[in-house]
Amino acid sequence: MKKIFLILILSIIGGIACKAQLIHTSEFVKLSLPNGTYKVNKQQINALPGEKPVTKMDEQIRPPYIYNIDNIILSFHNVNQDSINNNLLGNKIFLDGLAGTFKRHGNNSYTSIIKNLNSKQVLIANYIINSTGYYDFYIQNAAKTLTLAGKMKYPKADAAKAEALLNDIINNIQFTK
Amino acid sequence: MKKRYPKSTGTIFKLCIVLLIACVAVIYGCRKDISKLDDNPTATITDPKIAKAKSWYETNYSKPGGKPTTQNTNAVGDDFDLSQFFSPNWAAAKNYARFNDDVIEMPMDAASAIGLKVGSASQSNSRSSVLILKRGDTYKAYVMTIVGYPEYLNADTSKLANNSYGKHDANFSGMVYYTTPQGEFVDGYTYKNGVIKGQLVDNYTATTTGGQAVQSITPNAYQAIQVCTAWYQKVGEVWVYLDTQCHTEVIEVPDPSTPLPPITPPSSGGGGGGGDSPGSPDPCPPQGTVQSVKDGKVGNALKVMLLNPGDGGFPPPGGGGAPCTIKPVEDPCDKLKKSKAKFADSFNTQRNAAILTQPGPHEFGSDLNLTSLTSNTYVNTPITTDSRNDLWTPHFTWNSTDGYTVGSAHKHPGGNAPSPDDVFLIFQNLLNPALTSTGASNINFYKQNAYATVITSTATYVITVNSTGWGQLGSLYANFDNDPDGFDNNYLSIARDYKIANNVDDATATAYALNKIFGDAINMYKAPAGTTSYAIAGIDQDGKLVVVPCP
Repeated sequence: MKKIFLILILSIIGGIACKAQLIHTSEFVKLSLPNGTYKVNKQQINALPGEKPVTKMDEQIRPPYIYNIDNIILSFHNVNQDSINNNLLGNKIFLDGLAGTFKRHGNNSYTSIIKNLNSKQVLIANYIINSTGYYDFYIQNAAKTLTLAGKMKYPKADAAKAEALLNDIINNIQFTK
Repeated sequence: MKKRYPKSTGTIFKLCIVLLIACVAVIYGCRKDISKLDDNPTATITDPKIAKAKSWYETNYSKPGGKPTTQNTNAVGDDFDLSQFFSPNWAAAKNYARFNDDVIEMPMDAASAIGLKVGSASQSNSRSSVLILKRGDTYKAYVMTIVGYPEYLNADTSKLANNSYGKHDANFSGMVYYTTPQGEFVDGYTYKNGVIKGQLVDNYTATTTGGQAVQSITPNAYQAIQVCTAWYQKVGEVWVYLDTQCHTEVIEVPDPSTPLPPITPPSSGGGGGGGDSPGSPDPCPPQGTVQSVKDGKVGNALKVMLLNPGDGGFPPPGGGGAPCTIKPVEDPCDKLKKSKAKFADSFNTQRNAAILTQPGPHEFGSDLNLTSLTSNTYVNTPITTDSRNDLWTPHFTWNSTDGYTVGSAHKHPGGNAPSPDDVFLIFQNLLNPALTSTGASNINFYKQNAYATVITSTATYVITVNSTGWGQLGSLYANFDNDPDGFDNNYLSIARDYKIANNVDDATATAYALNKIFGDAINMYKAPAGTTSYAIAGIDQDGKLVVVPCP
């Protein structure tokens, strides 16, 4: 009898604690996002502080999936199958080259690394600009045929939270092909 | 045999099981797939093209608060988002091909009527539709609003439904007005008896000349007037004011020597259906301010399209893919012809080749110094390096001994197109005391002839500054100087995102990013490595980097 009531109470607590959980799905990937995540539309993105006018409303470059997770802006592109974007080393050289200007300005925060995590290859670039942190990441399937690129923009003070979120994404993302 | 559970306990057990199942259902139901947030499933749409367009549209123009309500009124200012006030009627969507686009056109849902008021005419004289144009894999969405003038409607607003994107009445008089779904103005056209009479443009910079003079721009002459439009939403039988925008209407004048025709906004009348909301602001300032097009220059690269598309329909939004007369401030091909005499002469060509053959991963470069301001011969400057992969430092001189530095050439071993730093070098030289101390004619000479060459293993790029682009370049430099990391991060983000979204190589991505940031301030020319076959590298109407040869 006690067990029954325990199950009942736990179930009710679970139901009360239930919050909407988004699942990011696009072609070839599926990822559960943390509770409290909400999708951000273009207007909300354009209204964010620090957004450059030149990137506003530009559908040629804007990632199609943008989420807000407790003030961390997370965006995903569509999954790439092409050889250019599946070349993580090439992408690392590309990013390293462009980010070289930061160092010339005296900003030495930029780092990038390619590593293997849970049968996925990932390229992660991280840097800080004006108290805002950025992650540029590429997550590749084991067969190295699919790459999900995304980025994260976060307040510098939330660096630990952003890192944990990125690790969570890398660990939990599922390639469906 | 004794029952394991008494009856009362069994009832509680069953109740618990039911509650448990219910809780599991609630928990599972809370997991939302973002692709299934829509409350109007595409399953009701049988045409897969329309279903796909609907999915795209609702992904990009979502309504955070759900469907618009009649409470959302008087949203004035920069935050105005027209898409929050209407819903497309997907059930009435039509799909057809026009120009190079797959077109999906549909009216607004009757429950979310919006109206466009032009001048003093009633907003009831308008009819808005949603237009989705798909070219390749790229969708673009617009709100197309057709406004009928009283002489066309003759008090019968049902005639508006005779007109669509692909077909308008042969005697249509009025306006077709394009915005993005959020209400950002794109362009528009005015008609009289089925013929285009004017084009609505934005960012127009014309010189007021006392309301009379119109100067000709070859081969046509144009008159420009201000036209204000206001959005309304119909709530019950009352039109509620939403937002106002003002634009310039450019009207072709057949003969510049003849007096200007009077410009009057459409008079009120025709249609009906309620009035303005009480106390709504007057959306339009006084009409009819006549301005002139000066020296043949209409803003920056104004596209004037006064030709009917020829298929009985309206011109496409943004002029994409239709006959179009482009009157840029400075023709980049003319600029190329003039500038090639310097940056593509034999000395430059040989110097570019010599720089490219320098071994190793470091950048190498050379200053390109004219021997005098009256010749196209160059000082034999050395090829130098900073022994770095990402930097080459030029040395500017402006004297008869060392030469007059109008350009520089350096190698990008990684293969990227010119960077913002390469463009800003041209501007920084303009501020060099060695130049500024020599007076206006020298400065003008520099402005007209300055260039930067970047050499890669596959291509040679040359950047020149548009004659009208120095001010814009100065503003961008000020932005860069104020926040160099932020500026360069923007460049990085654009290049990276363009590469990912379009599967292009590094050179294309960086060329795109540079064009995106510097826009019309600069010209980018590109030639295959080792050649002088320069073509214009720019962003086309579809927002993609293209390389277009000059005739």
